[in-house]
Amino acid sequence: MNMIKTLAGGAMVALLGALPMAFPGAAWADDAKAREIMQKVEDRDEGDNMISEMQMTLIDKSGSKRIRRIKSFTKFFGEDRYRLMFFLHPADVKDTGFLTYDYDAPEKSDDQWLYLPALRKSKRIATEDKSGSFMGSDFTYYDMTRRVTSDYDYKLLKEDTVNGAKVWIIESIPRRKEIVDESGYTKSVVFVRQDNYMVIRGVHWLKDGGRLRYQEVMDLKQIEGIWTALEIHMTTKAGKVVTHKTELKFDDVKFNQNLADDMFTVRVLEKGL
Amino acid sequence: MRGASNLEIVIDTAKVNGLYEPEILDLLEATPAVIEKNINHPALYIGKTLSLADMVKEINQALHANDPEYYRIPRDKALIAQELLLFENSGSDDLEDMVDSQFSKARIMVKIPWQDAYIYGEFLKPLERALNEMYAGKAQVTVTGLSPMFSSTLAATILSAAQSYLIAVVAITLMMILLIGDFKLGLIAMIPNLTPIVMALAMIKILGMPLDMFTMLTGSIALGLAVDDTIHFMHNFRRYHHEEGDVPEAVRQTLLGTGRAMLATTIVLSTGFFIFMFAEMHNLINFGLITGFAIIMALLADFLLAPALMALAHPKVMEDDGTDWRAENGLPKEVAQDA
Repeated sequence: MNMIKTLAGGAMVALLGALPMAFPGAAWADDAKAREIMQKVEDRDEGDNMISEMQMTLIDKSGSKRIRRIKSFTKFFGEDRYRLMFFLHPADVKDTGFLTYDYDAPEKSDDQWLYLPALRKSKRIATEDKSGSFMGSDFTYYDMTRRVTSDYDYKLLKEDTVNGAKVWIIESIPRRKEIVDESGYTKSVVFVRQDNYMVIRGVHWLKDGGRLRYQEVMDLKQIEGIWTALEIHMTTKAGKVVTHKTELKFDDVKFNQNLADDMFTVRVLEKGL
Repeated sequence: MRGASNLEIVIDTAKVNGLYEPEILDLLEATPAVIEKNINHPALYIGKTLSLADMVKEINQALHANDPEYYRIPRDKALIAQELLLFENSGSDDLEDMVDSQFSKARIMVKIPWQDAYIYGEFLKPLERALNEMYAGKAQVTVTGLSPMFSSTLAATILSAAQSYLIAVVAITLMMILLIGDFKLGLIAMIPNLTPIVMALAMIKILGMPLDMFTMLTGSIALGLAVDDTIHFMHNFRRYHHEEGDVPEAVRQTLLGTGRAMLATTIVLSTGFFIFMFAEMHNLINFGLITGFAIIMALLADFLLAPALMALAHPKVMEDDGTDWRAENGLPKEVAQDA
């Protein structure tokens, strides 16, 4: 009896072991642990609203820099993120404003308006392509929004330590071609901190031109209990050559400031604050 | 687009954001007309042109409800800056092609027809001068692009080909003189060396082939092979002539001996080059045809021209030939010479 049990058990183990080989790469493309981690990254508390002053340094391949300063207001309306931005510097474009409605529903394309002070007029602009550059930087609009976990297959590659913090290294591959077109990336590998579910490093494979983007969080702080990346660098490389780099720095970051709902309207964009 | 080649005009304001100035954009807008005026040749014209000015005009029109009246450069520097920021922010990479990231240098693309590179040669310098006058005090202008590049490459190649032909001729002449051990004969031997080159160049002209990198190459290859033939001929001729003292006999022996070998190598070599005529590319076909032709000409020059030249170069010997004949008949040499 005992022996029969052992034999049966052995057979079960052998059968189970053989199963993944019978269906290679089907249901196992995604792994549950990695998905759970990435879901926690998506669900992380980002506050109801946020004010910050963003300094964007654009560095071209010859090393020359351009600096832009942007005042930014963000507020969540449910899962939709509304953002109002005004340029502070350089002087030529001071007070140029952007208003963006970034909808959570994937079928709804985002709305964006622009205000040019020299024209004293605002314009609606089409934002079909999220893979385009965000304000001429190495960040895309897609990088500036949250990724939807259901768009990706995840795989936990390994665990490691970065600057003394334990991380999971997770590979994400878009499930559909449309996601590749929308994001501009064919694959990403991200480093997620185990203590706070912050992505502190990322490598993104660009769809075009065989280039790679390296994202690195240089400064990470807890502000009003919310983990916030205060400095992020994004470097675009073709092989070993840096083709362009962007450094984003956030100052005066404030959360939960009681921003009025009607602040995120075209009227405010045109009249200023 | 009217034009498979292009001119590239680089406007360098040497100032960060220098291209936001309406005056500079006005100049960019007016540049194609100035180029048109400076390129007056029946075979040339200006095709499509594109510069930052066109982009700014388009953005400006788009921002004014697509009213064609606003297809112009705004007079307000800040508006230009804001329009360009908007364009940059729209995710388009087109701006990268027209300006540097500091907005200090602009590029004007001008489509032009694919013409023989040397036609452009004479226009480029005056054009650059005219454009620099136009932008005087505001920016530095450089004219470049595919055609100017080919034009200057071709000019440099022709010059250097001419130089190397000259050096090769001088060096080979010196070596022929040393080898033959006779100054006059050495110079004469250069005639069958150079004839095939002259004939090959004439052939290029007659067949209306372009003088390009490939056809220019034939000269040096043909020269090397012609020299090879001539050295074989001259070396053997000298030896037989020394032995026989008779030009026709020396020529006969030379041609029967080394002449066969020369014929065989010529057939092999020219066939080898003629095979290029099956190529797809025109310049390879031309290259094979001309080089093969030059190799055959080199052999003909050594078979027909060289013996005649040797006969002319040895008039005394021909008389000696008679003397010998008389000597064989028991007559003294002096008598014959006096006669």
